[in-house]
Parts: sequence; structure tokens; C-alpha cells
Amino acid sequence: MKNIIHILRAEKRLSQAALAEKVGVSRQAINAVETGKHDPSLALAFKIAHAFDKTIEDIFTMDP
Amino acid sequence: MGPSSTSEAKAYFGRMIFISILYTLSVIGVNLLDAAQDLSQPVRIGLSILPVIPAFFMLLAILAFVRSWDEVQQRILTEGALIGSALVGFGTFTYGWMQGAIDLPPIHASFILPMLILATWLSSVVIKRRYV
Repeated sequence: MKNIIHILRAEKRLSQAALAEKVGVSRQAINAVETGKHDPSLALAFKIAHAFDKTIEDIFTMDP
Repeated sequence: MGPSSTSEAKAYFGRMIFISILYTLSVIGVNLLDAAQDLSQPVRIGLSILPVIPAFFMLLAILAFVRSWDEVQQRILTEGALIGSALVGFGTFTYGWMQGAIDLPPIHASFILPMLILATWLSSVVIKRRYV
């Protein structure tokens, strides 16, 4: 699964640690999701989308 | 661990210190009683499994702490536990077969749990490098 978290973070000038605190996970978890090493649960995907005022589909897309 | 994990970590370490003290006292107490008294077989069996009780509470404390982690950390530990269990399982299984072929010293069964914990921890450290 691909995502645009790094772009959204850059737009909002948000560090991984700040986003992690916002969604209630570790910085390592945000890094793992952002780099595609971990596909987030639906709950975490919703929290990340909510943090950027976006929908899940805006942020996450399936790899072809 | 998430932002609320600091209080969870403090509670966990507090519980583990308390349980470790109970465990140490139970092991010392059991050995002293067993050596000093001429105890009946049922009492000896009861005393011998006494250290298992704090060890069980240790497991509950670990479980409560792990449940406070986020999904990536839980995934790392789950994979670590799986690989650690496989390593200890296959290791002791292989050792058991080798004992039939060559003269190897027996392994005390009480070493299995510490070996599982150590193997899980080591595996988790290696697996963590894949995710972070």
C-alpha cells in the first residue's frame, strides 16, 4: 500500500514525532507506515486521515 | 509505545520489581524449607511449584504492558515471539535427538522459560530493524 504521509507532513510542517503524538502511536510506527513497511489497521488509518483532515482514500492507495 | 506509554511503563516496571522480589523470596524460601525440613511428598510438590505463581503474575504484567503498545510494536513482538519459540522448540528438539546419539548433559526443564524469553527478546531486536 502506498501513501502520501510524507508529503502531507511536509505541507503541515509536522515531524514524525508530532504526528505520532497526534494519533497516539510511537514515532517508529509512523515511520513504518510512511515507508510502507507496515500497513496500518483501519483504526490507525482513520486517525492519520483525521489528523490531516483527509479521507483514508486521499492518503492511502493500493499498489497495482 | 504511544504517548500514554510512560505511565504504563512506570506501572510495568513497578509491578515487575515487586513480582521479582516475590519470585526471589519464593525460590530462596522453597530451597531453605526443602533443605531444612523432612517434608512429605505432597508438601514438597506444593513448595516446588510455588515460584511458578509469581512467574505467572510476571506473564500477566508483561501482557498488560504489551497491550499498551501500538500495533507496530505489537507486531514486532509477535514475530519475535514466534521466531524465538521456534528457535527454542527446534533447538531443544534437536538436542533431545542428539542426546540419544551422543553423551550430552541433560537440560533442566526450568531453563525452557528463560530460554524462550531470551530468544523472543533477541529475535525482536533483529526484527525491529526491519520496521524502524
